[in-house]
Amino acid sequence: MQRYLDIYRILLRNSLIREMNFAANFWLWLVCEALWFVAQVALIEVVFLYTDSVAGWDKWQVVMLYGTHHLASQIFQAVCFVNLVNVPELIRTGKMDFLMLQPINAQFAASTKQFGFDNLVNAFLGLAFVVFACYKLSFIPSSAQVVLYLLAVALAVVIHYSLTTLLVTVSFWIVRAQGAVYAYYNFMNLARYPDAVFGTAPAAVKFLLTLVFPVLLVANVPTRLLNDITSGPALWMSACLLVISAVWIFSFSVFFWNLGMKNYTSASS
Amino acid sequence: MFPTALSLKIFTLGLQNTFVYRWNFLMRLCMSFIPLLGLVYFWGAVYEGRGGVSINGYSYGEMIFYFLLVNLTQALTMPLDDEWQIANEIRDGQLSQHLLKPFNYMGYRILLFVSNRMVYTLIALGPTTLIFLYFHRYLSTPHEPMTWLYTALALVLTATLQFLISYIIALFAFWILEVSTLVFIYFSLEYLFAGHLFPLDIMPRWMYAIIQWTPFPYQLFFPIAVFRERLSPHEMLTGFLIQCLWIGVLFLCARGLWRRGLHKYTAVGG
Amino acid sequence: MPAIQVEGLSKTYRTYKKKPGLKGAVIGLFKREYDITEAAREVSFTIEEGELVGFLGPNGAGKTTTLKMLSGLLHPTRGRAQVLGFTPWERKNEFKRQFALVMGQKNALWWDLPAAESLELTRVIYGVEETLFRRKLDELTTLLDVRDKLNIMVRELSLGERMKFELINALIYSPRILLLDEPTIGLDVTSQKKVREFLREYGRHERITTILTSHYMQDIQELCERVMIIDHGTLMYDGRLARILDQFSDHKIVGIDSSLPLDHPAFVRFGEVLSTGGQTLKLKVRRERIKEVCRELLSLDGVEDISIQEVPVEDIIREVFASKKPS
Repeated sequence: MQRYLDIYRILLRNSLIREMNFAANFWLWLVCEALWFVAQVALIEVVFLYTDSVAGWDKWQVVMLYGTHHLASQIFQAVCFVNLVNVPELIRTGKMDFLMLQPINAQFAASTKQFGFDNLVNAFLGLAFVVFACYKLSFIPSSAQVVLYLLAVALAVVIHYSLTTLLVTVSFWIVRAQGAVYAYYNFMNLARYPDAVFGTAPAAVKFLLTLVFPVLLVANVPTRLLNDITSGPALWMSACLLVISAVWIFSFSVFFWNLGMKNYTSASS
Repeated sequence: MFPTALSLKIFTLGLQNTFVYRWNFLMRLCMSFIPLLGLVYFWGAVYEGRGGVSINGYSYGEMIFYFLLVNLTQALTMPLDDEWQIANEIRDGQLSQHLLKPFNYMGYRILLFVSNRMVYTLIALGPTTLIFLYFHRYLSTPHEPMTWLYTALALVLTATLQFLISYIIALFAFWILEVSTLVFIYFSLEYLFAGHLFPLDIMPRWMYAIIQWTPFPYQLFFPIAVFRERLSPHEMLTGFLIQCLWIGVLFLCARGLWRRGLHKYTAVGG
Repeated sequence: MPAIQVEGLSKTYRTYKKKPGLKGAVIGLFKREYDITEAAREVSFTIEEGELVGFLGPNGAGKTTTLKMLSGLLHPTRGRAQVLGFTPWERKNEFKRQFALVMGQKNALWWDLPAAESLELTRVIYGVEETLFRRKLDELTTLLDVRDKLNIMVRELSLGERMKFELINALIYSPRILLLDEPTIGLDVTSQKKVREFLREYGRHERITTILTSHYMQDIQELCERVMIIDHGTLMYDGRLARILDQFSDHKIVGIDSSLPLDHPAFVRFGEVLSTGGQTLKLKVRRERIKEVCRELLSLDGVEDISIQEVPVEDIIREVFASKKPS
């Protein structure tokens, strides 16, 4: 464990050095991510010109939801995203060999190489929107709510990670598979809608989006925990769902990754 | 511009190359329907909150139809890999081999773009038809027969505009190593102001009045608005004029950038 | 105990035979036909600690497959391998710590960082103690003459310098097994020479068990006493390089500078004409006739100078393959 922390410390240091060498790139990506986020928030602005609530959520609650989603997804992107996206390339070029020869867990090595500091800044932007939404709702969360919120965001990050890992692991079998990034963004597009809007959706769709690909939990549950939109059993129920789906999808992604590795070592040429 | 035989040759080459990626295309296409799922339910909830009252003339069904048309227009006109390919050719020095050939590079790319779009549209045909059938009760056709003609014209101009913008962004590869940030930054603006998120005519009026003068609406919203007959004859004429104006301006920009870029490219010896 | 012990190692691939066209693809969904490729067949050998063995064979002969099995990146279909007492494909960390792979065509170092930073990462990953690391780094950078390059971004280094740092990155944790896959590919002549010298001296001094593959025969000739030759997945030869040279080079090459026409009947009598270039002619002459041929050549009018050379190893290896095609 200590060794992994040491390794991570050096990876962070290296990423920082690299980031400073490409400062222009850092700023451009920062602006880029922020613009996407602002575009999403603009949608809320427009929609709430015409209505006061969407499926029982009012404007600033939806802003809080968007901010939360941005927070979780940007933390994930800061820690792992670029590295995971690079996995198909590692497999195609055979550089995966180097990772597998090192005396550390290959999944860890493949997930953590580079840290995105621009994403970290963006995570704070998301957080700022959450805080601002609280202010607009004149609502001060209790410390218990804050703690639960942060824990739920951490679980959301795990779900982001696991989903992306599942998507890129496919390239162990289909080397030419592209579009894992594309699939990730399209799935996560659903995450920023209030879950209640899917109230009228068929049960199969709800099941798919909460338990199989738990995109409806990653932003909704933390937001619900922070701001009591629901309370009582329903709230704890959704919190439980988040824990269960995070555990299962993470375990499955590790299993799937190992399966991919096995395939790599038994079949590649 | 090109002799017909050469054009055909490049065109078929483009078709073949693109066809290799048909599975990737198909996968991407199917993925692009996922956000549609969210839109359907989200707007459903929005309209429910309003008690079903329409928004600036968009009923719920019309809103869904709008997003279906967004998907279709994108399939028809949006460059997919063209900007990456051009940027890569410049960066890796593969451009040199094209420079030696007796044809115009931009013309060559346009031919590839068109063949690319045709293959994509062909692949998109099946899934898109299915989706349209599923939502059949929201679909409608224009009242005026002439609208079909105007829509076709608007689509061609939209595709031209889309191509020029991608081409210009890609040309920055002459000066900077990675154009991906530029691509994404531009695309995020386009995402907001071209009508990917909501029909532009439901945004605040003053804002729409400004946006109208930028190239963004003419990359997506305009042909759909023409098709849905949401514009008065006067508005439509203005729209076509602005669209053509932007095409002209961007064409000159592309030419200028190309000359300067090439000058730099050959100066360092590619 | 030998460092590497391999017995009956075999690897077969099953590749799906793709039929052309849409019809083929549809048929393929129901009835698949497979090709069986035997990338390695019953490969057995033993390498003692500290040995430096050359591993030769044409592309696709099974070199990479065998090396990948030895490094644990590939499971064999059949057979056994023990490397330092470990079964490589179990990929135990204790095994990985004593094992290094350097590939000339792939870089393990971070492209956008100075080599020093990548090396520090390697230090922590392999758990090398700090003072030992400093000493080792000093030693290696001095030997390879790249001390002043430690803080330059890897992407700005020359190919040769990059390769040297790849070697340092692999040797910094004192592995006991080293696999070198084309370590001199694409390097300029001076860098090649430097890398070769280094590998010879350092490997011998540290008693690192090394397997080397290279397309440059000079690498093999200067570094390896023992070579293994593989083709079509089968180990065709395992023994001293000198012996194979004796066995297959029963010829020498005689170069002749003369003003005579190059198709002069006298030359053809002595041996096979290999090449002609300008005034020079190359003849392949049987070893036992060398003296006689030279004497006669020098007595000919018009012959100005002659030289005697060994047959290049490349040609010999080619001959091994040509003469021993497996059935």
